[in-house]
Amino acid sequence: MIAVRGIEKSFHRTPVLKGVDLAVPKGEVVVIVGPSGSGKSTLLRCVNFLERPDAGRVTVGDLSVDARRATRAEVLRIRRSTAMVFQQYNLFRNRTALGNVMEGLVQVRRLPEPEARRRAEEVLAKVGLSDRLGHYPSQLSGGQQQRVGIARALAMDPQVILFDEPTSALDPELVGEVLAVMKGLAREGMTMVVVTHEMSFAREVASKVAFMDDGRIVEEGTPAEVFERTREERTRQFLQRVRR
Amino acid sequence: MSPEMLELLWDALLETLLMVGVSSVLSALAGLPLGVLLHVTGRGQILENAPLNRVLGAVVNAGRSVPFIILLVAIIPFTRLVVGTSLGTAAAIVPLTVGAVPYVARLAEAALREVDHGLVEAAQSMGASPRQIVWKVLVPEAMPGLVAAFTITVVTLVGYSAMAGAVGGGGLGDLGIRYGYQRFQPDVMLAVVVVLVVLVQGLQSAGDRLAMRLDRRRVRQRQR
Repeated sequence: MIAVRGIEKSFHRTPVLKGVDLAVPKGEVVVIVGPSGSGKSTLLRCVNFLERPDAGRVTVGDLSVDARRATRAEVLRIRRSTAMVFQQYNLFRNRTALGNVMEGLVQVRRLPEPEARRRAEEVLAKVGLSDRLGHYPSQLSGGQQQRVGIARALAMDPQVILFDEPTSALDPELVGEVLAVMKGLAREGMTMVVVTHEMSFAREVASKVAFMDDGRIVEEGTPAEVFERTREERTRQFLQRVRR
Repeated sequence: MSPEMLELLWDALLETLLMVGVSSVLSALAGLPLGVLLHVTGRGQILENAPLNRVLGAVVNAGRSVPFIILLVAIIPFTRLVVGTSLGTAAAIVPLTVGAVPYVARLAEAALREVDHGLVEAAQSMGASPRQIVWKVLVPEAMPGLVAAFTITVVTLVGYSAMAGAVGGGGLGDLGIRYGYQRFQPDVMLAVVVVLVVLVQGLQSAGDRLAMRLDRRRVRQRQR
């Protein structure tokens, strides 16, 4: 169970998050949609303290911290039980696909190298990259790089994977392969929070859709509730814009 | 040129290599950690610490603003303290090192700044500690840039070492001044310049090749 309560965050006195509550039950996929600048990515980054919230509570599993008072050790514990997939993949460019996935296992998890290698090969197989283990990011397509990013997150055996616009940097023809991997994870019961503009993914995979605007969650519910029986005018306007 | 002259030239080359070699290693040992510290205490970095960053930055800038020829004489008491004399090749190593440390620090900082902040965030999101981020992300990812920075430092030190020769440090610069200039032997001067040119070329291309070998970022060949 992942939850945030009353999250507030400002950048240079400009409020970006104005008190956000969101709960993600184990095994569910929560998709956050909304116009750019609405605070979706910031909210995601507040969960693992890449941005420190100005106020609020973050709960990951049995660890619950007051964001303002979180110690360094607590932040590390939260980060070690979550994983993130980034829009720009953020792969180590001087390491191979295998090396990218092994790095966290060896350095942070302190797994012995043979075990880390086995685990890395296993998750890279899962994302369909068994034949690319020795390739450097510069030798991989965007879709392949992002799948390495997903494998890297998966390898750490997190309680939740946070996806920050995972397909936004990809050429349109490469989006499908990444979404397919994510759908696979969802089917296996991985807990996921996904910030995305892919409405069809939200419709198909989400257990819950949250629509954000202007630093708040305006509306949330099942995909059918949010997309078909929209209650809020702002959600309706946004959906109309992206449908075009 | 006489065999004696060639021997002098050879000895001077060895002295230069000794001065440059030792001071390069020492200045890297002191300058790289300083550069890392400058970077990680900077704004928005993993160990942001504005006061410390400002103090370090001011010290480094002060070090870089002193002209080398002045530094050379100004720190003679310190040099005496360290090596017991202010004359000779060993004594030249002290000011060469002191002069190069701030350069290495700034160049290293610049190389580290080139590392995509997203990689730092990726490591943070896995729960890596600041120490792990420095050693496993920043330094390895910046390695090509760090090698290039070190190469610039070594080449600069070759030039500085010629100045150190002027105060009795020995080496090629010293030879050029004493024989080429003061004794009007243009052939010696020419020989010194040629040796220096070849030396700098060699160092620079060795550094370039190493930096290139370490750099996996560029696309070598697309394998699909």
